[in-house]
Amino acid sequence: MPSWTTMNDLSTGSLVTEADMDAIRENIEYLLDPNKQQVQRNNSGSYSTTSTVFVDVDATNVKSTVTTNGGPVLVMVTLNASHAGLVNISFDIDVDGTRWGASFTDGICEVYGNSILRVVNFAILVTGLGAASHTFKLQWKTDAGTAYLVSNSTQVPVTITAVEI
Amino acid sequence: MENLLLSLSDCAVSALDAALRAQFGAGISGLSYDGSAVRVHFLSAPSGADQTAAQAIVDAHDPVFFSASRAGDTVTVQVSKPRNLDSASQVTLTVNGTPLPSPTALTANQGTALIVSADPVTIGVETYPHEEVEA
Repeated sequence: MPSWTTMNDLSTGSLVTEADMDAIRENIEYLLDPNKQQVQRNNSGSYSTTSTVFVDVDATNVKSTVTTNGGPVLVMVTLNASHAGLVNISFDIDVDGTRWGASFTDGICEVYGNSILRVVNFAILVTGLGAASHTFKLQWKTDAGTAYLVSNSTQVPVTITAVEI
Repeated sequence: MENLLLSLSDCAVSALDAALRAQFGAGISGLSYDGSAVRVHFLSAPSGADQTAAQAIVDAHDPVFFSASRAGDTVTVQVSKPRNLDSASQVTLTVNGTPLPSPTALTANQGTALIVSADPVTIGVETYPHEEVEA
């Protein structure tokens, strides 16, 4: 796995060493294959929730953890959700304990139930992260009733991917 | 948000949600279920008594029942009779072979019956081809 190397701040007249060139090579290699984690969760059955405030779908299994070097992280989600009622199901991403779309009551995106299996794909670019390990968890809520999230091998998984870019 | 995690092998989510809300009211935002465990979402840290009460509700939960009361689940059966089959203005629904106390009246070849049962039952419609449903 390539790693990011902090480079020397060269100035006019500086001697470029083998270590400097190694750092350039390693960083190019890192850009080609940055730190990332993709999770395709097979829960062997649907997740469900009646929560009217955002909660983790599965704090243990539907999350992505990436060690970054200070760059932004692209978080991508693919899922299939349903609700028998005429209500919304809402989704958001928890970034190290803070909901990314906290400024919005219904998070990053929402879909209407109405007994139809809804395909949901969304991505967010998380900026302002320090060089460290960061955890991104999928969260959801429903306006009322019971919302469902498909996650089994005979249908489709819930997928969450995080990659430093 | 404080989550109380309790093991549960099967769950009628809406019924368990109703039972928990009856106990805790606005103190919870709801529950989540993943097939093996239920998480009760308390808006603030539950007391020991709250945890005990939640555990008791989960232990008493029977997923056979759609409703929390256990007084009986209600199913609405909508009946449509093929047009021009005959001029009957009513059909008789049977539950486990026993006719309902009163026939289901049909208006414009359609009717509705309300059945309340405390146990799973198979509902049939005499005379006409049908698909069985469970209440």
